[in-house]
Amino acid sequence: MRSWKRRHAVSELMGTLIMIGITLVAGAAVIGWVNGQAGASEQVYGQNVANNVNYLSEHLVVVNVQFPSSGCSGTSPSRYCDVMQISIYNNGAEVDTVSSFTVVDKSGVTQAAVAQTAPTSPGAWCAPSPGCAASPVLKTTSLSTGPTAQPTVFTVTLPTAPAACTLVLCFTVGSFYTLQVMGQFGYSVQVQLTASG
Amino acid sequence: MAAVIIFAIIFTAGFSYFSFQASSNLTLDKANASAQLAQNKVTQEKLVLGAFQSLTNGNLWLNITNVGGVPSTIVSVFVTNFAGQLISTGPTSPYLTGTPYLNVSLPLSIPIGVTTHQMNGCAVKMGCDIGISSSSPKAYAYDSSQGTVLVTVLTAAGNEFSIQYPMSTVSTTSVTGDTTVTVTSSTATTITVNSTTTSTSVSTSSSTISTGLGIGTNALVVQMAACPWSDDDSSCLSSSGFYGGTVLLNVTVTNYSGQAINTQMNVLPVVTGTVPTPTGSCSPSSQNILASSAFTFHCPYSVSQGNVGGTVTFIGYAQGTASGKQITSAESTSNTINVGNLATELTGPLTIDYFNFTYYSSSNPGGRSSPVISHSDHFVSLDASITNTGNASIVILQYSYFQFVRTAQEEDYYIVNGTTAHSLLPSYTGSSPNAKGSFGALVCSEGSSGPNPSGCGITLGIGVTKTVAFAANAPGTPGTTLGAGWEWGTGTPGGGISSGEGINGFVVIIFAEKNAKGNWISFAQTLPYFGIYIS
Repeated sequence: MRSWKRRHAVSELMGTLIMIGITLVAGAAVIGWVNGQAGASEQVYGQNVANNVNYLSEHLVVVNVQFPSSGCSGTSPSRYCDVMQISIYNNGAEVDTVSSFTVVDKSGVTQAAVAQTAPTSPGAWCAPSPGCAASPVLKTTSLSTGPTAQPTVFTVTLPTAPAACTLVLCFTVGSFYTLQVMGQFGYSVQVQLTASG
Repeated sequence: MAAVIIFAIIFTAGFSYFSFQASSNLTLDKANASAQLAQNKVTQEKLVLGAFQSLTNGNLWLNITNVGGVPSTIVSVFVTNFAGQLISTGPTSPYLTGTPYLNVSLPLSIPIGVTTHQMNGCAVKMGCDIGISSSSPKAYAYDSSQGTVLVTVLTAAGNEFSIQYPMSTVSTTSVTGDTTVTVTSSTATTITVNSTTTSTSVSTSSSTISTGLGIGTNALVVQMAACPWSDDDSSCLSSSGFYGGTVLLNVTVTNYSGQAINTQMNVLPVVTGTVPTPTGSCSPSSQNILASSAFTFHCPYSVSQGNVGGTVTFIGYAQGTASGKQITSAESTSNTINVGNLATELTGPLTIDYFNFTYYSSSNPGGRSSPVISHSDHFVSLDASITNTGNASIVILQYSYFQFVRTAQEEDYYIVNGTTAHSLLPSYTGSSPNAKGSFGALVCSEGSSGPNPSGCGITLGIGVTKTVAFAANAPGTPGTTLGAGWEWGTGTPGGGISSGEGINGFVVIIFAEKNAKGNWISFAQTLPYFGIYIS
């Protein structure tokens, strides 16, 4: 026996509209996802490019390193200095700042490191022991570039008085050291020097 | 439709992403290229320094020569002692940048191959040598108690170039036998001789000798330049086409010391090929050259090529005395002069760039608005700009002429004496034209010694452009009077010119010197007639 059961359905118009709506919603989700991924990728890639460009544009020159006699005491071979003056010339393509100075002796032992960790608290920069100071302040001192730019003289003072030099935080006159200067974008330059003063 | 829209949106997002990547890569490539360029400049930069001290005021002078492959820019100067301590003092730092601490204001750019002493524009007697003030305001004053100091210049490329001042001293700890010790010093120097021998050449066990001239480098520096004697310095740039005659050697001696030096020149010609040894001497024979100044000796030498030819070069040095002490400069070598070498025979064309007609009208000078109207305009002279694009310097001789090519008859204008344009402009508003210019024929007397008369003609170096003047042979009354002294002129003076006279064009014929085989070299250039004249 045949049974007639009434079946209900949406009209063709409604079906089309629903399909379009579903498509748009799905499409919007896809677009959002694609845009999000592309944006994130662009941001990372752009930052990398910017870092590379800044690095390539950065160039610092150590013009001179001296140990003022006023910062030295004792007599050879026990003459020590705790003040070092470093002249930095920026001949890169952009205004720059120095991120850190690091001095190691011939055996690779770090003698002094002035790191840019807390520019508002100069006393906290120094590693391995606090108390190192750099004047003018490293990260906030702009090194101009261009034909009229001139070297900037930084004075690095170690925390230990020469009289109490422990051979860790002072420079021994006549000893051999390596100075590394790091720019804010990662460019570094090393010079080798003999302490004299 | 929705799919199309979605595709378009996704495509746009993707395209933007790739565009961003391409743009970023381009920026990175540019930065990389700039960094490499800067690095190349650093490696190619090379300066040679000389230091000397003025005895008159104690200033320390730097002479800098750029011997590198790139121009160099000096940004600062500083002095350090033997311990590396900065001992120069500027207004704000030890790095000196300008007046009054220096005599010049930095930065100072030095082109390739140029020494600061040759440069000008620094408004000081020593060219652009850098002087460090030793008096108020004092930047640095050398004191012998400081021992050796290092004078350093910092360049914009980041390089440092230094010179030690004074020069190293001689130290001998053990000497046996006869020994000669030469000391060069920039300051008064004390030499102590300690001897344990019984040699009679040392009369005391300890003696002190004072010496020194107040200079860190040699007090006398010689520069020599030789060129065939000519009325044109441009021939010095290339001696091609020189087959014998007089070579003028100019020797410039610079006295870098703080006192006058009575100087003599010693010159030796060096020849190759079949060139006989030239003969000549310098004038004056001696000259008292004042402190911190230069003097040029003129040394004409007679040179001939011999059978084939060759080259001649001059080597020389200066000698002088100051305060009873003899000073000898380093040896200097001049440029090389090619003599009669067939390989340098002139080839290549001349080019004639433009004409500038100069004229006057004797019939109706007033109220003219155009320089060329009718037959009554009589051209008297014209200028032509001629460039030597050949491979050798030439001398334009008197036979060179300019010709109007007419239907009726030719009209010739001959080259006149002088190397510059002649001015002969009419007055358009007055009742009579301005006074006519005075032209003289270019006359060269050929000597029997060579094909090219010495001191005659108009010399045109390689690549050199000059404006020469041609004039009608009758600068008197146009069309009637034949001017005097025009050796090669015809009986046809400068006459009228217009399109109505059937002018077909111009021909310029330049006679240059004879080549090595004795044949005339001539150049002809035909130009079309456009009926346009520039006055």
